[in-house]
Amino acid sequence: MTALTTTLRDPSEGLSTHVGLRSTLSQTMTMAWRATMKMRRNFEQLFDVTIQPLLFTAMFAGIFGGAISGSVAGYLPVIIPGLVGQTVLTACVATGVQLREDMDKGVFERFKVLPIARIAPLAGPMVADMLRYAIASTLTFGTGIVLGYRPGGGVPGVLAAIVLADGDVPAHVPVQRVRADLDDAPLPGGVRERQPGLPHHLGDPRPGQRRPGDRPGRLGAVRLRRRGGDLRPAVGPELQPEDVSPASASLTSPRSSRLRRPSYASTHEASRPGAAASAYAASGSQPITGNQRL
Amino acid sequence: MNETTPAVLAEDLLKTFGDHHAVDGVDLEVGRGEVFGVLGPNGAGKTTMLKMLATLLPIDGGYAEIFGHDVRRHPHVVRQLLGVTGQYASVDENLTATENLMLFARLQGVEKATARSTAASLLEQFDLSEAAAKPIKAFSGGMRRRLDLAASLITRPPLIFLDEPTTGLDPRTRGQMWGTIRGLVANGCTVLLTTQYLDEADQLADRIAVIDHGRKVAEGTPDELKSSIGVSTLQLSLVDHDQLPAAAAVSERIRGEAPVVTPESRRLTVPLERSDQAVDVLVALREAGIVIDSVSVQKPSLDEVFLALTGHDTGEPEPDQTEPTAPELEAVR
Repeated sequence: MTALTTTLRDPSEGLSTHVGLRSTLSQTMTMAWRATMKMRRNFEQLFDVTIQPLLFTAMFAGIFGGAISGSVAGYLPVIIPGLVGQTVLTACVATGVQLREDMDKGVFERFKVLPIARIAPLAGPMVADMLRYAIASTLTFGTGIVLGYRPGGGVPGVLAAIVLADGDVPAHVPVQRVRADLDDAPLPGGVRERQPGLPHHLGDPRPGQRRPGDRPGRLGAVRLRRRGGDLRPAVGPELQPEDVSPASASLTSPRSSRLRRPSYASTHEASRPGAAASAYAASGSQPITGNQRL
Repeated sequence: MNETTPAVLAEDLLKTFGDHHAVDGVDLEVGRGEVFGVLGPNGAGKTTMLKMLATLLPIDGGYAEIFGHDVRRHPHVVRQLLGVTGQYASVDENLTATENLMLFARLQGVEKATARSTAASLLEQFDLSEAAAKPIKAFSGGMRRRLDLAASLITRPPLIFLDEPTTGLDPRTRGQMWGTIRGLVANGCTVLLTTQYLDEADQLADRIAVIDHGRKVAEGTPDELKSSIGVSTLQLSLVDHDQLPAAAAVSERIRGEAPVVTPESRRLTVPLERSDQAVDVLVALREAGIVIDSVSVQKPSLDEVFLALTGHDTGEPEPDQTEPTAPELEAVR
C-alpha cells in the first residue's frame, strides 16, 4: 500500500478509500505476530494454558473421579471435555485483559490512527491465541489419555473437538456436543457400552442409531479399558471384548491393537457412569450389542 | 483539490461529553508547511480537538477536513495522511525499538526488507541505534517519545500531529525534541502541535491558537500574542537601601518609565518590552556605581497569558492587540 519514499507523501494521490481483503489478512497476521512476540517475552502468560490443564485434569480426575463416577477412567470422559471448555474460556479472559492493557497503554490509539483494517488489531491477537488454545487443549487431552481416557471419536474426533473448542469461543455448547458425538461414535466391534433410557450423560439417548451389524469405522472409537482394578469391559459373556493397553494404543488404527481376551462375565462396563453400569450389570440383562462379528 | 488547500481546516468543531463542552466551536486553519501551535492549560480541550481531527474521536458537530478530505466521511483517507504522536508514548512495551518500527511499517503495507531498512534509518535519525534491540521497557521517557515520533514518520505523512511532545521531559531532552521537530518542518511537513508551554510554542510555531475551556480565545503569531500578553519585567534587589532612589532615577532615564520601587525589600521592578533591554539598565546602574544584590528577568507565565487573554487579568491586559476571535466565537455560539 505504501512504500517508503524520501519525499513526503502526496496528499492528493495514491490514497485508497478502503482496506482490501488481502491487506486486512496481512495486517491481521502482522498483529498476530506481535501477539506471539509478546507471548514469547512474557512466558508466564502461558501458565493458564499449561499448568491449569495439567493440574486440573490430574487433580479432579484423580481425586474426585472415583467419588463421582465410581472410577477415574469413568470420570475422564466427563471431565476432559469440560476442562477443555473451561480452559478455553479462561484463555479468553487473558485475551481480553491483553486488549484492555493495550488500550490503557496508548498503543491501541496508534493502531486506530493507522490506515489499517479496523478488525486487524482485534483479530490478530485472536489468531495468536489459537496457539494458546491449542496448547491448552492438547495438554488437557494428553493428560487425560495418560490417565486412561480414550476418547470415543479417535484422533479425528479429538482434533475436531479441539478445532471446535478453539474456533468457537463460547465453547460450552459445542464442546458438550462434541463430547456427545465422541461418545456416540461406534466402538470397535460395535460394542455398545451405554444403556438406553438413561439421562443423556448417563447413557446413550439414541439407541436406535446403531444397528446390529454396523461395521465400526476404521478410525472408529477406541475405548480402552483399564486392566485390573475394578474396571472390566462391559460386554456380555458371548462377546469378545478387545482390550487395548494404554501403552500400545494406537488411536489411528484401533484394530491393529486389538487383543482377544477372555470375557469378564460379571463386570460392569468401563465407561462412565460406574454406578449406573453396576446397577445395570446387577440386573443381569444384556447390553445392547452392535457388531458381534468379533 | 489544489495546492492551496489548507492542511487542516476545521469549522465550528464541537465535542461534548455529557453536559461538558470539551471542544466548543473551534475554527482552525493550518496552511501547508506551517507549524501551528495549540496552546492551552490542562483540560482546555487541546487533545480532544486533536483526537477528533485524527479520527480517534467522533466529531459531534462542525466540520473538519485534512488536505481537503472530509474527516468524518473519509477517515481512512485521512489516516493515510497523518502521523500522530500522543501525550504518552504509544509504542508496544514488549517489543524492541526495531520490532516496534517493523510492526508499524508492516501494518502499513511496507515490504519486509524495506521495513527493516526504514526502521534502521529512522533509529539512526533519531539517535536510537544503540538501543535498537532493547525492549521499550528499558527506555527513558525521552527515548520513548523519540521512538514514538519515529513510528509516526514511517510512511512519511505530510501532516504530523504532536500532542504535548515534550511534556514531562527534562530541558535537555526537550531541546533535542525541538531539534527533531524543526527537522521535520525543514522537510516540508505540516505540524500541528499542542503544548502547555508558551516557550515551546514560541520556539517552534509559526502561528499559535490559544484554547481555553474548549474555545479559541486568541490566535496569531508568537510576536502578536506576546505583545498582547504584556511585557517582561526586570527584578532588581540592591545591597544598599539608600541607593534605591538613585537606581530608580537611572532606570527611568534608560527606560523612559518609572520603575516600581519596593523599599521594604530594597527591590526595583523595571518593565521591559524585550528581555534584552535588561542589559541596558544593568550597565547604566553599574556606571552609576549602584551595587546589585540579585537580578532576574521574569517573563509572563502561562497563567498570566491566560488571565490576560481570557480577560480576567487584574493587571493591564491588552486585548485590542489580539485578533478579535473571542467576540467572533461568541457570535457563532
